[in-house]
Amino acid sequence: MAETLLLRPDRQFVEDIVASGGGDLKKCFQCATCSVACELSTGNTPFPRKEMIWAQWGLRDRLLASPDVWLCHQCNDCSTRCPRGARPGDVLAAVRKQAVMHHSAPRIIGNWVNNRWSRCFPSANHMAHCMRTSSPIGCSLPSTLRSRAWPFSGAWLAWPDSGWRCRQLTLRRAEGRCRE
Amino acid sequence: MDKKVAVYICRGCDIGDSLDVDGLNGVAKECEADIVRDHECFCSDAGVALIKDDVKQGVNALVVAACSPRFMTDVFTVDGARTERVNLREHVVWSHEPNDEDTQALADDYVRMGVARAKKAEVPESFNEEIDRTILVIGGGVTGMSAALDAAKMGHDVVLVEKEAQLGGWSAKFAYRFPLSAPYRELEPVDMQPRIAEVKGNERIKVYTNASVDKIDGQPGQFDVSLSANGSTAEFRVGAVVQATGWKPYDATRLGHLGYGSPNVVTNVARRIAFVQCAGSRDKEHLPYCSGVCCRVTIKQALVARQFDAEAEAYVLYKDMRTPGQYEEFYRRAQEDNGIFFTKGEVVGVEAVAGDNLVVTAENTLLGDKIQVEADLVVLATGMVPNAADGEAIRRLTDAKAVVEKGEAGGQLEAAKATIEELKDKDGSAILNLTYRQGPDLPQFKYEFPDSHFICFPYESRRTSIYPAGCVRAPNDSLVSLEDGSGAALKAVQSLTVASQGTAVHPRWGDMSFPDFALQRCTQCKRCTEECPFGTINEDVKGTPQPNLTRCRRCGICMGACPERIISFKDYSVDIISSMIKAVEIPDEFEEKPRLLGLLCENDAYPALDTAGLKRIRHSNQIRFIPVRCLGSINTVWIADALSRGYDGILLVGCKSGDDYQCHFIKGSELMDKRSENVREKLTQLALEEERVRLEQLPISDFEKLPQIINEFAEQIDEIGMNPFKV
Repeated sequence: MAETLLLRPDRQFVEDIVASGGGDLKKCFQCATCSVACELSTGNTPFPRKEMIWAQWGLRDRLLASPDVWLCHQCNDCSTRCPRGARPGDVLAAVRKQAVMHHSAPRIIGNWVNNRWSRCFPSANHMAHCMRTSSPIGCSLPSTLRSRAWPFSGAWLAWPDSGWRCRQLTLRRAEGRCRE
Repeated sequence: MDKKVAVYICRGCDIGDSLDVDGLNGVAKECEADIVRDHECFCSDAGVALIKDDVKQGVNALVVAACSPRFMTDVFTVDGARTERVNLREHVVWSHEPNDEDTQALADDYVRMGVARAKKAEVPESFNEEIDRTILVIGGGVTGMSAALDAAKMGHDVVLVEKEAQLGGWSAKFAYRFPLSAPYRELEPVDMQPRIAEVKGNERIKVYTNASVDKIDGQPGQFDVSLSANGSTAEFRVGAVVQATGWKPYDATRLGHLGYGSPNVVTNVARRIAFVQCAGSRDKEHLPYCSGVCCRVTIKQALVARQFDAEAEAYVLYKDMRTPGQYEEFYRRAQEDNGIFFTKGEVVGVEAVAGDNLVVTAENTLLGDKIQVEADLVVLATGMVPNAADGEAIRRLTDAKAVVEKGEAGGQLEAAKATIEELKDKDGSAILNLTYRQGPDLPQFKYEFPDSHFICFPYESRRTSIYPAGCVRAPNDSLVSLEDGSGAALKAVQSLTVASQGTAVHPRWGDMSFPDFALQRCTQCKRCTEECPFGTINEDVKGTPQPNLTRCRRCGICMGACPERIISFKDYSVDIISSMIKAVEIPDEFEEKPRLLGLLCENDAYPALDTAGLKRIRHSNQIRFIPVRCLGSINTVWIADALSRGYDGILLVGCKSGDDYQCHFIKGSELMDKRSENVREKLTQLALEEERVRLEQLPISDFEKLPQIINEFAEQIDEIGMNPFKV
């Protein structure tokens, strides 16, 4: 038995995740279909079910300190297979969004990145997609927008942040696992 | 009346092609049948007309050698005569080599056995008892009111007895309940008043509140009830009883490890409520079963708490959330609430810590870690315990007390004292107060519920015309209880109808025979009164049995138990089966053809062999089968008769016994198991091999295994060799 975990639910954090794209979070009934579907999940790390439980109980500190949330490359296998429609992939994206807001310095930039103006700019997920596929940032936008949009991406500003470094690290780990 | 026996041998369904029917005719004539006929197809109009003509001419014992008695039953039932069926189709031609010497010998023997039985069996005449059609319902909750109203709608007078001052039971005490109809999402307020008013306003229903049953005397159709209500007493007669005494919560004082006993409510306003699911349920140390409602009740309570206080939080720690059927929607509804948190884990402790906090600790969580939750209030979701009493245990307790009072000496006294110590908590727990020899209440089955095998025998109890319903039968929600009440009312009405016709209830519907006791030869050994699974037989001071015929289910277990063989039915007795056993022609030892006897329970084993025959699965041609009403009705004298007659082995096949029994008479195969221990001892005394008598238990679905069992047994007997007692 590992450490004892004191659950102190943070309702505000749950509401934040729900508001920022993880709207189906509460539907999860912890069946672990997501962990079975996920190619990155190993036997002893029930990913992303573990994150779903943390997120449901609003365990903010755990989630924000966890490198694992950056493991996800948003393939959405879990979201399509979830029998309850809890969309774990979207929840993880929302958690990452919270993480960016939390870790970016100065904080105001992180908040700005995630406010509604930032919809003009590529998201963290999109950045991950582009890195993985070696395609230019903004590749999913119509070509007329693409060239103008990417230099202004708010995500660039969050780069020197620890969250980003975590992501680099975990992405590399993830790629290694994928190749296996 | 003189017997005039006619044998009808059908040539249809392969019988004519596979057997020498003329030979069979000869055999029937040898057995002194008065008329012997064969026909291409006896179930055709022409065939039936032949039989009916003979009956008009005075034939009163028909032996129809054709298909299994389970087919064409109505066709071959003729008024004024008793029909004995010889199963030539399933048990002979469809399960053996056609046109073979041994198959023919088998058919010959079956005809001999059929004629032997026809000569001795009589047409049963029903008894005629006066049947009261009032129904007594004990318990005025959801189930009891449902049973009472439905019975009243069916035209029966009803007496409804409630121990509390008000009708309504638990439901009347609830402010909200979980939804009973689509879309199964929102709480429903509970209002029992219209229902209670409906019951009180129904002129067929007489209600007693603050009441308890002092005594129920008599038998189905003639129960004399005394009760006390509000300080006065009442006496009246009813026909059947529905026991809807409901449930009580599991005794939480036994849940010290979950913090019960420490002050649960530590602040005036509980803002953080932890729900501990399966508190003392699904736990070997406490209730081993799931009550099926606590999860929904917790969701309900969590929603109510949230409704009253937007700041409140509810933490639900569960082993598994069980929200059967449409209640998944209700679970979803609770999950959508952002103040209700769920997680899986087994709660191992609840402790009070500094300040006003309680800390709940859980293991085996999905996170792999031990988790803790702080709460102001902890709710233990305990399971349902039936409000039932174990009649048989209470009887054992009174018997033991009598032994101590009498001042018996030695071992008996010690045993009695041990019983009193073991069962002391049963003292005074009686509810129905039946004056049955086997105790004042329904006997309990698994987990102390007085239910019987619900899949095979819905609503049955082990006391005819007394039906448990609602939470006393199994943990239920109020919707299921409502239906359960109706179901039990229907069973009660059914039982009264068959009692007024003088026939048996389930599973021997329509059977008019009943046990007849030749009491002048009775030795008061009390075996019948003790072994009857249905408490049919009371006894007087000396121990002479006093049968109550409407309690009887006609299984014949008393007949199997009686060492003096004084109990018999008109068409089923020790003598009748013995003469069938003796009718078989046993080849002498030089022929090297062993003969085996098979006694098949006619509820499952006999149909299983029929099914094997329908599938054309072959079995040994050395065995001769006789159907019995229940393995428990086998009198060991038949085994002795068969062995002394020269049978080489005896196979007994019946239903499964044990906790998940399938025996239609509950204890039949278990009793035979006990008796066969004595049989084995006898065999050893006679220097015979124990293996010559084998007892098998077989579910009906395992029909494919039955021919295998038969063949293995035949091989084994072949190896052991011939019975040295062959004549």
